[in-house]
Amino acid sequence: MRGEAGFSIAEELVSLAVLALGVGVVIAGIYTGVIGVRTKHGSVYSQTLARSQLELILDDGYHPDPTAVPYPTAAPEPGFTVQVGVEYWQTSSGTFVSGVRNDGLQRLTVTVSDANGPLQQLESYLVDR
Amino acid sequence: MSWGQLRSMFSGRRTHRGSRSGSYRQIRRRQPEDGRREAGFTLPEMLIAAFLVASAAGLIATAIYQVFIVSQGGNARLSELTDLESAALWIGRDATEAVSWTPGSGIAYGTFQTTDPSISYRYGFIGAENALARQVLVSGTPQQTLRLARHIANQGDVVFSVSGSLVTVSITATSGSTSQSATFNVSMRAQ
Repeated sequence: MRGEAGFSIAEELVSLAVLALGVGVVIAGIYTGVIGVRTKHGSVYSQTLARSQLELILDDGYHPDPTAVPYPTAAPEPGFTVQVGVEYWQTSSGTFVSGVRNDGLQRLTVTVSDANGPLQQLESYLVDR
Repeated sequence: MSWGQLRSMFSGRRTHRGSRSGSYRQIRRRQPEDGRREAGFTLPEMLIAAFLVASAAGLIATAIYQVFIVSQGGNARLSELTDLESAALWIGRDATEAVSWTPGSGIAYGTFQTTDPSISYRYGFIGAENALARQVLVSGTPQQTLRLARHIANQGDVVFSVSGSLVTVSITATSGSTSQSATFNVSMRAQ
């Protein structure tokens, strides 16, 4: 028929594929941005919380037996948990052990986690002086 | 009304309808002469097309709007988080060198005094820039001013409180309609 301009099925499919690719790229960009912001949020808050917890303990000073008199704990932001691990220096073996000892040195490990697992871990030492 | 008038009315109407139906016949006659049908859309087709175009336009407009909103919100949150991160790092760094904290007045939050009596770090608020600023003072004279955070809406959004050698800092950074807050402890280690 005269004047009946149109597109073939191949042209339609190619244009659809190009459109879908464009939409897919935009959505992928938005998703990456959202994930990036979420990661940055976790990184900043976990770093701040871990540092804050460590500073609180360092400010409090050395406890000979933290199982009897625990170190102070910082209040975590909603969605985060903070855990403090203490290892004790054993002079005779020259290593850190998990059983409570009072050889004047402790290794502190502060771990901040969210629902997906650990985000940040800081380590420091406390000396009895 | 007389019978004659009625008859002439009806006969007139018939004549009129006859002429209209004659024009329809003319159209119908013309189609086969051209050898093709008149291309066009019916009203339901047009309505459906208009509805589909409107729906697609609405969806595309919403998607574009969302792209802008999400990216703007994301940028705002990133700026706020960077502010909190930067402020926490500098305050933590200065606190490790500090022996005391002297609360300030006016736009100054206060000053960390280091073990060297001539060197101190002063924190203040620059209202015109909504910035939390840190100044290095040598013998009380400012040497350098650093903007740690540029999204502090009010001076009261940064609070330093001291208990012994422990300084608790609370910061709220605001950008547009979103805000992020963080509270953290720093110990004046040199004390």
